Amino acid sequence: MTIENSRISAGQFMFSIACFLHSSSLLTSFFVIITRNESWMPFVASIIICIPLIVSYVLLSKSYPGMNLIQINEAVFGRVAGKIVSALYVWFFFTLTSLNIRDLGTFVNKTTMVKTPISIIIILFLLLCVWSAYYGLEVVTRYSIVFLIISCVILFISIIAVYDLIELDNFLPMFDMPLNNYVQVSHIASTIPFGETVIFLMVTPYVDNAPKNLMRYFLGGFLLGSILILIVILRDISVLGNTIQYFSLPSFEVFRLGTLFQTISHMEIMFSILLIVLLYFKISVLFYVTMLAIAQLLNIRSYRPILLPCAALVVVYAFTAFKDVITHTKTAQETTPFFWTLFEILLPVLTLIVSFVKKKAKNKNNRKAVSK
Amino acid sequence: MIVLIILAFIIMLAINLPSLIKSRDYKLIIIYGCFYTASFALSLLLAMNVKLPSILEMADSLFKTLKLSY
Repeated sequence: MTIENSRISAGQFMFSIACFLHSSSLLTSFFVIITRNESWMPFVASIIICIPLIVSYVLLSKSYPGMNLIQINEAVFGRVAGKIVSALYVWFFFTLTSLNIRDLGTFVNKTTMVKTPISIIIILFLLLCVWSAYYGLEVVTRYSIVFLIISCVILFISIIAVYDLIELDNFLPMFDMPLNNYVQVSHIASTIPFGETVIFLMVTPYVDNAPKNLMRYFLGGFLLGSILILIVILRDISVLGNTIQYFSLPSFEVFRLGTLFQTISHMEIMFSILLIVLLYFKISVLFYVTMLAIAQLLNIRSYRPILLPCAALVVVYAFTAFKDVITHTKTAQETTPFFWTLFEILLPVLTLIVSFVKKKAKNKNNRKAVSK
Repeated sequence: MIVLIILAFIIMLAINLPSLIKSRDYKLIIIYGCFYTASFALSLLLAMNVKLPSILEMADSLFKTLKLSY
């Protein structure tokens, strides 16, 4: 049964991944507190660590062409176990959507719309996401390239604006912290922005020429997005140095400090607009994928009728997930990397191994049958 | 707030129900009913300031007990 009828180009797929990752630059505050001015090193390590992970996602998708993650689970683990694993994934997607919408609401409420209740901000954004999810994958991902170009232009402008404030000494001293801190930050970066790309396994069947070009475009999108976040981290460290640990939104502070041609200053509004646009894109993709996964799991013809009640559930979940931002940040630093490892690393790798073993056993049986 | 939530859910029903009934897809109607009831009940509880348990906070304590944390 095909729930999604629209298709996207491989380029659109790649830019969607890059845009999805770049929107996570807000979440750098999770780890800059731990490794401060050295955060770029474990971040680069996590990019390198995640390349084999992305390759495993692509191999998994290539082993079952035309199937999304939920269908792959059923094909690999069987009907019952597959449904259980898929239900866990649905919960994971749902949680990611709720956490990101809560992050967006908090950010908008703290930086731009101070007097507007956070619930109103979240509901309005989610209605927009419902609207785009209603029209399907093509509409959700259509403007990824535009958003990415805008964010690259703003990133470039911000570097020019803070050029006078850049101090290369801010990167020193290096290797000055316990090894555990680097491991922790690498783990956080691997699971919180990078491993979340597992959600794209839900849309790979709808990418044009998917099996052929998937490796190139999945890896391309991953590298593009991660390099953009790396540039953001390098810019923030070079401007703020060790003081980066004191800001909940380091990039926002950097934009606040920047001046252009001695006339344009306080450019933080640019950062706010950029982040709102990118987070809107991320939440739209997450919400769409959640709906697609629910429809696939429950075997219904369309996810469209359940969009609104599920959006209401996302809002409730966003408010009950964590009581405040501090708890959220603390959990993201301490336990979330372990929890997310289950969905982003262990389960996909296990699925790949089981499918490989099953295929090998099947080939062996076929060869035996032919020789008889 | 409670009145607004009730109003929002009535509007939601008015949007979805005609097409659902027209489709005569009973499985979809049951699933819609489950999601609708759950979201309506939880939204009302949240509006009434009832403290709902957080799965993530429970998971956080579980992982800490298992020593799977930094």
